[in-house]
Amino acid sequence: MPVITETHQNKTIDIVDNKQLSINGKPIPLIFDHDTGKWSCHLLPYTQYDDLVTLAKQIIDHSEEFN
Amino acid sequence: MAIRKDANTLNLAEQQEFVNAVHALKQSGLYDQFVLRHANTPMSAIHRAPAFLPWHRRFIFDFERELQRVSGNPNLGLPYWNWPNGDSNASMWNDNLLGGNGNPSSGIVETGPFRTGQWQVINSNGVATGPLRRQFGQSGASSLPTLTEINQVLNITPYDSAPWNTNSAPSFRNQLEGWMGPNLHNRGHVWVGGSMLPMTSPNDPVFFMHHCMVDKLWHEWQLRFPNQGYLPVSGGQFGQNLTDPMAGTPNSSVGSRPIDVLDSTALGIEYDQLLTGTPQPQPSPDITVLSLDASSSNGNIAAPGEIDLFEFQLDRLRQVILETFGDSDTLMILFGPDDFTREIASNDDGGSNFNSRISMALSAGTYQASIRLYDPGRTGDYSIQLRSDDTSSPAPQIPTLIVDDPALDAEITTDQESDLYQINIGTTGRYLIETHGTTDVRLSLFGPNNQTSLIASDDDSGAGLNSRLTLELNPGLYYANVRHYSTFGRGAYQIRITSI
Repeated sequence: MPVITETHQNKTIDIVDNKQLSINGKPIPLIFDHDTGKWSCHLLPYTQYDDLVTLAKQIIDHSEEFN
Repeated sequence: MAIRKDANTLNLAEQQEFVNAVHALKQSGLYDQFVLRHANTPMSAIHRAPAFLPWHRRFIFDFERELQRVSGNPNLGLPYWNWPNGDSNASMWNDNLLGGNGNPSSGIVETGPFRTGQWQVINSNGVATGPLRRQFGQSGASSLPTLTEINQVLNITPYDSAPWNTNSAPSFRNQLEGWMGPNLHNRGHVWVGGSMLPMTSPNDPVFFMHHCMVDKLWHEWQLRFPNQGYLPVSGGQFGQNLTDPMAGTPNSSVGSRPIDVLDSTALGIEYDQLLTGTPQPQPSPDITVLSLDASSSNGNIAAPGEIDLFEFQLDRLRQVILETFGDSDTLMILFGPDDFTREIASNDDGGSNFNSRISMALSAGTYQASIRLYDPGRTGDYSIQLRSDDTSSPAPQIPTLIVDDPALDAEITTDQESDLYQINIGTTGRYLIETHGTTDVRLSLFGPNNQTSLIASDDDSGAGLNSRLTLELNPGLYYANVRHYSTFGRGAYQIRITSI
């Protein structure tokens, strides 16, 4: 079960099995678009991303939930 | 009527009025309630789905009403962000209205009425997290939608299509929202960046101007295609269909369903100018009147997504059949009586050969029926007829309420049920008509000697949630109508009339 851990803006990003994401231990509900192959989540409703690392960094940078 | 204007055209007084009203709402805590309402409604209920447009129409309508209330100006209209003329050089971004871009490195807005120190944003729990941020053109959208792109989207029909999400095509909604095509709405959020990116995006007051522009374009699309209705009418996820209550939409004098907000003019919304190619608002789309027991009327769904409307009146309680004929697979919905947002029946294949057929007892009043094709991507001809049904069960009998008799036991057992009673008044006098029981009902009295002239109605004047009418009545035949307060409510009740 592949696990990716990164730190961004002093927040910890954990990605498990390339389909589960948590930030600072908080699980982030994800949406995967099978037609486009892109990821998104409710925290950023206007955008989609190619991979979970990019999504996670965007959440940290722009969502008020991690300020 | 409030007129919504291009934000670039506001004079100084109008700019100050808007800013002061927004700040007043912020200080009262009400502004943040709008942020929380948007942030905490499930994303799939209000974005990437058909209800995206009606939900946000109702949302900004409520906000506009609050601006009017707190400013004391009932004619204050929400300004719209005219994207083709709304880049960083536009006057709407000056320090009298929105303030400009954020600091190049931090994104913090440092000028204007919503600058740091004067404005704080909140998270989805209502906790203040810091200043407003903007980063024009830095988050993946370097430019705003052009007039050419807008007109391209305005030519798309139908309103929406299966699978009713980001992959819907053809879909005006999906292209206006931005998941396909030139990307209009999403691009505006991303172009501003900063606080406009997350689900708490109403933290930036430009959100409301942005969605005012979105709503203006939907309004213009409706004017260009008056026979194109909201889709899906039924069969979609709950909260997305025409008569479903939308998530996160509080009760008010304006309903919470898509059908309740389809008519901008009826909501008192008017825009300063429309785009070239958009006709001025018409009184109402073409409605064909049906007469009972007349020959069938021809109908034609000429464009994909089109919805045809028919209207008829009944002078008394009647058992009727409303039916379509022909080779088209139709879907029929019946609304009324007298309230054309109140759905009382629907049918797909109850007739022959995939036609629709509704057979039921209808009380006196005016009804509307909508006809569309089962496949919103098709066109086709059909005919429709309204006729009396004297052949099936006997004509509906109206129970009689006798003055001073014991209460009659009754029950509302189906959605939208309307119970009718006749009352023969022999002597001029004062009478009390009331219901009893635990069911929340509404009582209306019609007459004398007809079922359409409303005399009085009541909701909760009786004991608990019961109805009560006290009236002076002359001799004649009267009709009492009892409905559940809730569209889908059911329950037992008693009804009685006494002389007093």
